[in-house]
Amino acid sequence: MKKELSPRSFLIRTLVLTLAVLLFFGAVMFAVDPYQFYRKTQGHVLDVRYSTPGMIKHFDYSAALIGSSMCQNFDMDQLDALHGGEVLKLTKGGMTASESLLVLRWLAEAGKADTVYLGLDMTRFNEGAADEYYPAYFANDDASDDWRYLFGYEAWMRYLPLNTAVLAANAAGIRLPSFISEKSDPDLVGRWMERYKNAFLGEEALVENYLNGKGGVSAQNTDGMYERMVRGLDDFLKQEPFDPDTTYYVFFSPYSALYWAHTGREGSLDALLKFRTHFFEKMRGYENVVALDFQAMDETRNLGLYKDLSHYHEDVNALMAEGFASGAYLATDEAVEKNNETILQNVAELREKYPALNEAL
Amino acid sequence: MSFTSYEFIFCFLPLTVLGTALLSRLKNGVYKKLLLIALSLVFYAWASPAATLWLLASAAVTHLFARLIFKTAREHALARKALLGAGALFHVLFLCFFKYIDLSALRASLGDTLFLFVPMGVSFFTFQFIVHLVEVYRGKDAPSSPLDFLLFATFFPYRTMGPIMSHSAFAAELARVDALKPNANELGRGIYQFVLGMTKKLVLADTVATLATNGFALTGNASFAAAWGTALAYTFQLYFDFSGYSDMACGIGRMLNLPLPQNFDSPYKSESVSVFWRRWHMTLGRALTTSVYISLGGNRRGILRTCLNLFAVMAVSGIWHGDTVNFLIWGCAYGLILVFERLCEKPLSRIPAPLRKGLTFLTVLTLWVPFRAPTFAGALRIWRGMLNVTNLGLGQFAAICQDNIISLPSAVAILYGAALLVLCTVLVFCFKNTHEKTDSMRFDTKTALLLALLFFLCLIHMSRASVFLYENF
Repeated sequence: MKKELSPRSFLIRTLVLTLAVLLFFGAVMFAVDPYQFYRKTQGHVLDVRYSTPGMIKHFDYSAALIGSSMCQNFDMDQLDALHGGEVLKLTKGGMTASESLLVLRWLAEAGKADTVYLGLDMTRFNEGAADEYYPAYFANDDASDDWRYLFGYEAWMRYLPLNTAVLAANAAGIRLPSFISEKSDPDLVGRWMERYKNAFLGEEALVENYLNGKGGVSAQNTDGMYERMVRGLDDFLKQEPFDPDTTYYVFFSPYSALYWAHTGREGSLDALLKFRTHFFEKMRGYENVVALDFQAMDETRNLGLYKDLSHYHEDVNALMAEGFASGAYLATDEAVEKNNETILQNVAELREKYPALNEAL
Repeated sequence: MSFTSYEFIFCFLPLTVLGTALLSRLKNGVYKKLLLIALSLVFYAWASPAATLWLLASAAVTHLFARLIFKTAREHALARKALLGAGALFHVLFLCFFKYIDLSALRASLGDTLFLFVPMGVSFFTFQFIVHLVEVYRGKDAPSSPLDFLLFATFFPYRTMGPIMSHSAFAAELARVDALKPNANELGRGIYQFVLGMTKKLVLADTVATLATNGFALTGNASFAAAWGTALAYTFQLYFDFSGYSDMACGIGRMLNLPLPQNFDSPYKSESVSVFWRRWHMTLGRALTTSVYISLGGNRRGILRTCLNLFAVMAVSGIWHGDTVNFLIWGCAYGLILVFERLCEKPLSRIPAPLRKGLTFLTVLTLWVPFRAPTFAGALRIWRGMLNVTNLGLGQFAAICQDNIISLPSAVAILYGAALLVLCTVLVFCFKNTHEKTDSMRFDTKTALLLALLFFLCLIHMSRASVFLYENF
């Protein structure tokens, strides 16, 4: 049996070893830099939640795409071509308004993007202050809190096991499913089209699923909804989201006509239409904001293009991308009013075809 | 302030140990006590400064009644009894006000006034103070000086979640010549125990918590696998969480050279439910024995009365934990089981020990379900799932194993969840507990390296938001 140390020596040894262990593992994490916090690294799995600030700082781009799951299937090559430069994809499923703000702020600080395509979810303005997924230590340039990254749960426990497994599989020549391999490609990360290609079931099945409670939309607080959304937008705009040196293409995603029929049943349709008018009016007040209204585009009536009430086929993304360049969907005063009428008309048609949609929820 | 927060680990704790060590060089012991009282108040006030006044008020009332009871001559039995009754009533009402009245409704109408801040650990210190009054009344304890009592009432290592240390035990420890005089031997063991406890909480409890949280959030019918996964996960979560906290508290006690009572002694290895309760939250068990069981006559008034008293103790324990039907059912069920074990002591002792251990664990696991479930219907849902052998439902088990941030493929999620539960089972049943390990630890390089690695592991788990489960009680 080895000789025991004196308690004092034991304490000193414990302290020295602890410092050595922390130094070693801190250095490992600094070298790996999974979230590209210090430099651009290659081949790693990109977790949009944590990689976004690093990508903004260290990637090369002249435009950026921000949005939620409904923006994740944009063909980035198409956007690059239309924009005439590299567009950085910064989408995240369920992105809230406050998260969009944070990303907009980081982009403005980096000063690399002359154009930003900003997709917003309308109903996010109907929420109170939402949690931000991005860890606070990413939100500043303060080096004194970098240790939270170097010794953080996110990097060590969420990132490393997955990334090590992916790198090992790649090294061993194992072909990974696309939804995993895509995670390492900045243009494909978050893309869900392949995974859900069999989920586009056609109009009747979509309506039937919806009527059976499988709509895939969260219930809204309809009490005082319009006023709350206006307040939410005011709060958003108070944070000065638009950098004067950048052009912003701002849009709401084109939900299906069935979604609008659902809002009619829920009692939120009027508030949403009124908010659309208010929102686009506000956007027109910014010289460097190009507001686009895709919400009444013809494709919203084709329910075969939707996997649920709001998530659409990548073909719709392609049309939207063309719309950024063509200016066909500009949200002028008249266009928005006309689109509101079109939405109501679409709802009426659906209700006529499916009488159950007339029943309030 | 939480034991697992950065500010506590890197600032508060080192400063406290260092300050106490420096002041213990002075001959006058008052200074280190004053320092510890001040630091304890800072620790306590960190979350809610206003609630600190409630703690101090409750302590002042306790000290006053303890002195009055002590000074009243034994011949005046009625007066002593009345004083004890008044003191105990004050604490019971105090506890009821904060624990069983919907303060959020009051706050909505009255605003955030001082009176509506729930003092942290109110259940714990109320019990501690009642036990003090009972012991003074029985002549087993005497009031200490106001300074020592203030230290007893505020001492941060046990203040929020126990262990529930009796005043007599605290005073006896404080009376030792080297009390609150940190030394290298105890400091080494204290750090060891603290880090092991922290590992149990941050690495094990908080990881397995995902399964329990997801499982109890299920709205439809729970499948067999999901129900067992949920029940097992919570069983381990609660153990690692609370015993981890207790280990950390005891570790701090050792660091300051004021040992705290052991609170857990491998309870899941117990061969009967009675033994389980002597090894789980041991200090609460002792406090209940002193304040309820013995006060009701204990086992001196025949078997029927003994059974009634056992049942009453467990019913009180249920109510102590919360005011929902689930807690009452949980406490009463344990009361009935203890009565059953008392009445069938001999036949039960003939069952082979491993089988008894298994049955005890199964009983405990089953009864943690209503303890955790938000409603009784929720508990029934899990119980039904545990009996539903026809619906294995591995898919649902995979769903509860997801951490809701990264979506794992089902097969990976199942493997991960199963591996986690197996690891917890092995750690609980095949290893010594933290107290045994601390007592037998060797001061060698291997242990030092283990501590360094465990500390690193804890550090990377510290950034997860987490609270100790017993903070809710």
